[in-house]
Amino acid sequence: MMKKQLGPPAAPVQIPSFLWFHPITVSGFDPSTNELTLFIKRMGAKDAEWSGQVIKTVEHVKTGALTLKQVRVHVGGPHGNLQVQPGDVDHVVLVAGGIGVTPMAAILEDQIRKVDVTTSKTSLIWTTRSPSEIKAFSYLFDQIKNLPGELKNRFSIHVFVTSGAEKTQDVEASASSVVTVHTGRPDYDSLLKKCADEVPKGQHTGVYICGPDAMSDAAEISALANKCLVHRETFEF
Amino acid sequence: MVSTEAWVDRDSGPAKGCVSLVRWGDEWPVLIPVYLTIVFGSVIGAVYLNYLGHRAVGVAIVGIAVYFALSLTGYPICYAASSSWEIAWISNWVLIAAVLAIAVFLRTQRDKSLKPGGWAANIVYRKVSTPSKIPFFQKDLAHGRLNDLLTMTIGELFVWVMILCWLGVAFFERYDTSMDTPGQNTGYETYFVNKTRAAGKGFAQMAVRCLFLAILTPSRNVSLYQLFGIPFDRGIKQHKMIGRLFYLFMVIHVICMLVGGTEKGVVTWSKQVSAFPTHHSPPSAIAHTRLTLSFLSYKFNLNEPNLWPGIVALSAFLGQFFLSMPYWRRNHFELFYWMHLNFMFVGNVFLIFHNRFRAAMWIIPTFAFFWLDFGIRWYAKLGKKSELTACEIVDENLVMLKVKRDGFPSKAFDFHPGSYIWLSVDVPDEHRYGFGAFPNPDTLFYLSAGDCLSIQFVHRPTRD
Repeated sequence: MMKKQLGPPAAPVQIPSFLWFHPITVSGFDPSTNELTLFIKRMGAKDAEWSGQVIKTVEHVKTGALTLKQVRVHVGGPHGNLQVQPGDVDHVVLVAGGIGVTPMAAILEDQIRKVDVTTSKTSLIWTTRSPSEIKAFSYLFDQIKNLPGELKNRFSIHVFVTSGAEKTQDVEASASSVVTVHTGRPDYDSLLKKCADEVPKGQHTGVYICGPDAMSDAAEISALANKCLVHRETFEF
Repeated sequence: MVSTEAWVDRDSGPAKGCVSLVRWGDEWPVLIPVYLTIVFGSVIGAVYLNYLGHRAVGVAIVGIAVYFALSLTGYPICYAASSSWEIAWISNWVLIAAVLAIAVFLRTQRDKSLKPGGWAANIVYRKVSTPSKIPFFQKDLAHGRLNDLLTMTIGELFVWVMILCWLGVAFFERYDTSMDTPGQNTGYETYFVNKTRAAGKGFAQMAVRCLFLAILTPSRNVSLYQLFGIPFDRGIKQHKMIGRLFYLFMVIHVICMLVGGTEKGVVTWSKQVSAFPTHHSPPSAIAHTRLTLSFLSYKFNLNEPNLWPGIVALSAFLGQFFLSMPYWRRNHFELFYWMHLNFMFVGNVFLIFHNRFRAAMWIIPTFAFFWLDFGIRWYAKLGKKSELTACEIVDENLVMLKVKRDGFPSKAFDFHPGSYIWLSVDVPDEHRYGFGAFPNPDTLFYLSAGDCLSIQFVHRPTRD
């Protein structure tokens, strides 16, 4: 009988699934419970891929076929850090494309958590075509919405929907009132110039970029032209 | 009979008049276990200290151990080589000194001049250029993303110039040594003055040094990143660039050797095991290192260069290159990751069989760094209890998980925004049958090492 396991397809040597480790960006950390929040998106079209099988596992948990305790997980790390520390800049600008928002979510959450002890501004410029992704990260937007007025004003969230205007209503329903929803692709030149101009001379704007190469290149060009400090995620191994 | 001496006056080359720590005589084979013990022992200690959070002490121990290990290993060849060899030897120490100086600078200035707006930050972190919008520059092809070169920082460019100079010295030293006429040098290549072969050997020296750096750079916990205080995912970009350089030099080496002639002297395709003294191996050395291995019907002698293991190493490294293409990394990450490691292991081992004298010195220390770092990370992954505390389906292509791990956060593993983890997910055996998608329908058969680690061949029926 063929034994089916979680694991990579088409590998000449099949390794037990508990040894198949996959790098996942941490989207959030709760210091009160030490829980790490992860978002896992399907890579490739097939369920046979690791991410597809993790999604199937979650589906089985949700249907009751599996309990949470029956799903065994192993965690290595965390590893990695940012090249430009958000604490060193006066305006943190997060530029994300698609699921590239996951590391940005961790930075945004950290900025929200430290809002009482810092003075920096934070902006998120997120390009996506998936309303459900926006819904998934709406917990962050709700946290911003619940901040007192003067603190809330230090956050600026812009979501650009690229999959067609018909989905804009879905997006607006998913997003919180603190989110400005746009259609089409962002003009990084004008957006990042505006962000840089908001910072007084002698202070620094840090631009954090994660997304497809073409988008990241465009954002990096604009950021460098406006003399911003740049951290670009090279997380693709 | 040449005896081993300690604290010897150097009588030739640029370091003439200096004193050597050790000059090995015919007893040099005993160096091999001593060398392995020093390298692996120090790295085990350093990795463990790092795991406990004592990173600086770990780095210091590795630095001291590497000094002793390299001091011990270099000299057996030194007495027999031309003076130019000593330039390459000195260049190693210059590079190590420069790396340590840069590390000290980066660590001490991190909260001073390397802060945004500081004088050092304006130089070190300034980009050479901006990314190009031309698609050819943006695409990650076999040559890599050209935009990665354009967006290097001045600091990275400085280090790259340093490394390229170091590689250049290694190339010209080997080329020069290989072109010496008999009587000037005792190396076997001396008897076959041939510019193409000499260039091929020069490229081999550059390739093996690139391999050293390429294996060193993915060690997350121990070495360069702790020393420099730079993020691993920034360093992985350098890993890709130095790796591509390695493949390039390796292929040029092979082409040069094929064009210049592969069979020379004792190095032949049909060579059988040679336990007898050769003109470049003293009898006592052979007696101490009669380590021969069988590969199919072909036998080779680790005291001489061997051709067939080179072919195996070449095949492994080309396979590694192929599976490192963006398609595999992005769509079949696990396949890429594991085969990358497997090809690395096979390639390195057979590279040592191909030419132990030139390869082992570079491969063993970097192997020690990588595999022990790898091992301690796996201990941390599997030895610490983790649990899934919540999960949600966002949509058909996206899920959210919440996980916890014992001992986190800690000194060794603390959380920073931008961090990533390694995650494995497993379910009980009976639930695996519920998954309809695996194995891949294209898989004809595979070697299955299940949870009990038994090995079985499974025939995969063809799908309708």
